[in-house]
Amino acid sequence: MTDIVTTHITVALVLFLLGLYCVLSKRNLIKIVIGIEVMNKGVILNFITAGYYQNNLGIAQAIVVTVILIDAVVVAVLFALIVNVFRHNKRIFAEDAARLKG
Amino acid sequence: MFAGEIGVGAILCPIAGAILAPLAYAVRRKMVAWFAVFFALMTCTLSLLLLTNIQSGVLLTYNWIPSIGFSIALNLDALGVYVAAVAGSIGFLVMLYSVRYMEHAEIEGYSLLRYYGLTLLFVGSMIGLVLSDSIILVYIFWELVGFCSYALISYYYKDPKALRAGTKAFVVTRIGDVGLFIAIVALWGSTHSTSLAAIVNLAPADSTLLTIAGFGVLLAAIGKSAQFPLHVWLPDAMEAPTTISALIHAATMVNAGVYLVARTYPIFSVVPSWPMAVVIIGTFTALFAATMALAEPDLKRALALSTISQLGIMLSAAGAGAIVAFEFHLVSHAIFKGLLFLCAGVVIRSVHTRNMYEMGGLANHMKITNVTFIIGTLALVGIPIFNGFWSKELVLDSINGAGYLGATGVLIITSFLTAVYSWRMYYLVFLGKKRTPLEVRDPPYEMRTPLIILSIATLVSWIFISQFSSGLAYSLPSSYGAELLTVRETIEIVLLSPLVVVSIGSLCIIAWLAFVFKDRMMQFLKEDRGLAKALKHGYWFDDLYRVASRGLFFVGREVSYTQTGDVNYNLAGIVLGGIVILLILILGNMGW
Repeated sequence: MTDIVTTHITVALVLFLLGLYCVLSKRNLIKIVIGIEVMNKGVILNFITAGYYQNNLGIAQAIVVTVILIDAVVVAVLFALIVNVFRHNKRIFAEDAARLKG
Repeated sequence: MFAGEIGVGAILCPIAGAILAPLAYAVRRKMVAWFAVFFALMTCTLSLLLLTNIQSGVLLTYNWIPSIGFSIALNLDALGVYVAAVAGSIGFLVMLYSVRYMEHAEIEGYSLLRYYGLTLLFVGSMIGLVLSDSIILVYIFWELVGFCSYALISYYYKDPKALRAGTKAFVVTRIGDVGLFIAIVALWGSTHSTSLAAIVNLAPADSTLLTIAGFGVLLAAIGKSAQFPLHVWLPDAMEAPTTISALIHAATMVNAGVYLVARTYPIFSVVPSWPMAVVIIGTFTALFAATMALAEPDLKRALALSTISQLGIMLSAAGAGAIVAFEFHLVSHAIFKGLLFLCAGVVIRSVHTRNMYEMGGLANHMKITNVTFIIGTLALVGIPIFNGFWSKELVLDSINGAGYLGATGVLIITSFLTAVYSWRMYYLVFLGKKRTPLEVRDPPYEMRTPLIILSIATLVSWIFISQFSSGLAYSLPSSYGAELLTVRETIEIVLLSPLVVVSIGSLCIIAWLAFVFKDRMMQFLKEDRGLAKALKHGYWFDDLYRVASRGLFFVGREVSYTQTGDVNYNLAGIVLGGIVILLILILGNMGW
């Protein structure tokens, strides 16, 4: 049992770090959103593993479904923002959004 | 009987008036003034009723957040009730006076609703501050008082000077507010209580936290009561309407700082060097402000500097633990300084300037104002039979009795300087040649009544010293050391004390100035060079602060370059911070 848990947590961590690297290193806003999503998947996998480890898979699944749902909303909002950044600047680089700073 | 309800009523009545004022304003614009006077009269009645309902111990306790020991309670002991009564009654007189004084504001495009609403809130917050027992409520009202004074100082918002003065008052007093906040946290840390009465009864032993709290309270008082080195905001606050200046100086705002020191004196008197620090700051400010008042050409600023000086005297009385003398001087000062400011308002209203060199010779044209101003001035100087004489001599006597000989000496010099600048003020405004071309006469009845009431109070208020001190002695815990004083004892103490020479000396100085020395002194103080220049510029303290704030702005601009607004950069910061927190948690769990 612990083997499976270790494997899953390792995969979750790798997913999270991959996403983090993507978010930190990319300028393209869509790539950043993809990175956020990859991080998110790592977190979800971590949730499921924790539920399995504690014999509480039901609650873990319920939380994960909620997270996925909210995630969809977040992605929709992010893409709406990106579309607006594109309309303003004709490109979608992260530093374009920095024009909003005071 | 119903003491607690009356107390709550005195706090809520003006606040309710402030909330309802827009309704009156909507019905009829002119009505808002008399509406506010009505509410101020009710507040005045309630706060004076409190005088017959002085109680020891807290009332109407309500546990709000029991887990951290935060409960709201009313404390109707004499220390707070006297200040509340002063705030309520002077608030009413100022409102009555405002009806005619502020007539012009609506024509010039300033809303009277803002004026009356904020003034009512101002009075209500001050009464709330002095009647609350919970230190957190005190803090809330403390901030409300600060906000109201800020908003009222910049009431004439089209004048950039007024805006600047309001902002200055807000920012400078905010430094003191930080002190109060630190003091609250430290007090809670050392006693786990937010009730001032409970903390006083606990009499916590000396500790580091208590020291921090003590000096936090002192910083709060320095900010609020405009003591050195944070005195710079009060003279500038004179850009406010004169009625508001009267209110700030006599009833609300500046008294809050010294009140807090007196209220917490038993808690911090065990902290080594705390009473000494309070006395030193008080006496130094008294002397310092009195010297600046000598050369000030602006009538209201001169009065403001004299308030700073008198507050210094009060603060040193509080630091010496002379609670009766302190409270007595606070009430006396509130009465005569309110009177002086309202007289100054009459003068400024008729000559349309605050520069004393453009006034002069008004004595024959405004007889009532002249007489009332003389009464106020003589009380300020401390000439026998006026209330200022008895209270100032009591303060001097008790500071001397507490063993602060140096402080007594400095305060005696301050008293002589007070005589000089008061006489100069009176001479420049009322005597000599009439320098204004405008026609000047006594004010209408709405403005005259408060002047007459206050001058009568200046003459007779000291007769009630026996009731006054017995209220304090009865309601305060013994750790305050309030003692009974009858009128007879007071007269004996004051007249038999060697310090009575102060008032005689002041009289002699005035006489000497009046007959022999006045032209040379006036000439010296009018010129803009040497010592007079330093005095006029307030020893260049404003410039010092200007340089300091410029430095702060420079640092801010330089540091702002680290904020690139770049998403990747910010994210890296977030991740780094997360890693640091994670490391701290892990290491903490491993028992580091």
